[in-house]
Amino acid sequence: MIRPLVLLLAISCGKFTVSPYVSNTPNSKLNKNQLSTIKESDTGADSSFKIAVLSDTHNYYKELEEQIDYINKHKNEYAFVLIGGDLTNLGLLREFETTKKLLQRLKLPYISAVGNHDLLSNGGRIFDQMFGPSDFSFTYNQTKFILFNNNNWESTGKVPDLEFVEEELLGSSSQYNVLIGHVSPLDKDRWTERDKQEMGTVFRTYNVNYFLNGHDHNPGGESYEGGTRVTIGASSKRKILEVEFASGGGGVSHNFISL
Amino acid sequence: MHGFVREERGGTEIITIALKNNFDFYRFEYNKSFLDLYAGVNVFHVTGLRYQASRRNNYPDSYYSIGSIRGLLYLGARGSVDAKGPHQGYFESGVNDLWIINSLNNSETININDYISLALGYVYVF
Repeated sequence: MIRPLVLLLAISCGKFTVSPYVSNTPNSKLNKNQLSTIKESDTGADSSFKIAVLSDTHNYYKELEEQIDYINKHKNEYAFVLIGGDLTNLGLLREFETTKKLLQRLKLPYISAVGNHDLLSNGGRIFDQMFGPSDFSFTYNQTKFILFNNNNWESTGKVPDLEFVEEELLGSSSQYNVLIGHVSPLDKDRWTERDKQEMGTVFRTYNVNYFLNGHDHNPGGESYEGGTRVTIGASSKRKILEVEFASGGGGVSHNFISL
Repeated sequence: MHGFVREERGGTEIITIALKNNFDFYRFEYNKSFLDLYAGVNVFHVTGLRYQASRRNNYPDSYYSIGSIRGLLYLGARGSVDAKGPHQGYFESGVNDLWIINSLNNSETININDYISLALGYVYVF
């Protein structure tokens, strides 16, 4: 009688959980911690650098692993990694933990935006504890990166907070400015024409160079309001977006690497 | 079945309504005691989630699938020291549909053993 009990206990050595929908997780505030590491290599000078950008990893775990392996193999080419959100499908804690466990294999620091799927269930609370606030900015080598939550259907309150974005751009003395929001500013489902115009005005007024977004799983780029908008693409497409910032005002360019 | 997780334990208050069905496949007996082994399926719905995907009014049709309903497959053992008495105990070990599918699609990356959950319970038979 004891043997079947031992067998069942033995195969139950996974993590105990009272519900897949729990949201208690340590306040690791990963973005802030990773930013400290990024800042260590920030010379503050006008020097060229390149970043790797991923998005919409969802449950494409083996494809994400391939992307991580590639980035690690070429880690000397990149300053850090940006992730455009949708780390999960349903905003569940175990999904976040699984993706985080894979991302921790990166040999470069990484920063993540929040995606619409990450805000489902109790995901908003989990993202806030695990990664930190969804609206924040940082500067690296004369380039300002502004990440903001523009998942309007899944959020309450003022989302996107364009006042925050404008304040950050107004206060920017950087050579280049980059916006990262999970949803494209031209998304036909979520934005009215007025919404699109408001975002376009901000982009144009402050001479933003690039808008990086996820959500649409197909990678691609186009001109947008005097700059460039790029859809990063999902991990399932097995591509990595590279964005390069040239010194001396040489401009910003991007390229997709196929794995 | 009805389940409740306090906010202190779960981060948010979680209320679960579940339907379970067990399929007994073996019984061990010893004196007056017994141990039944069984397999089962549990379908449960969680209410009160923020931005619950089942609130379809917030989104266009079919934008999200219903994210508040999960299925769980499990193995269990239920026993008692007195087969004729009312007190029984059980424990179950299972994995939900999400991680069954994820481990099938990502067999080299996901170890399903990391996603097994355990339930312990008491049954009063009357």
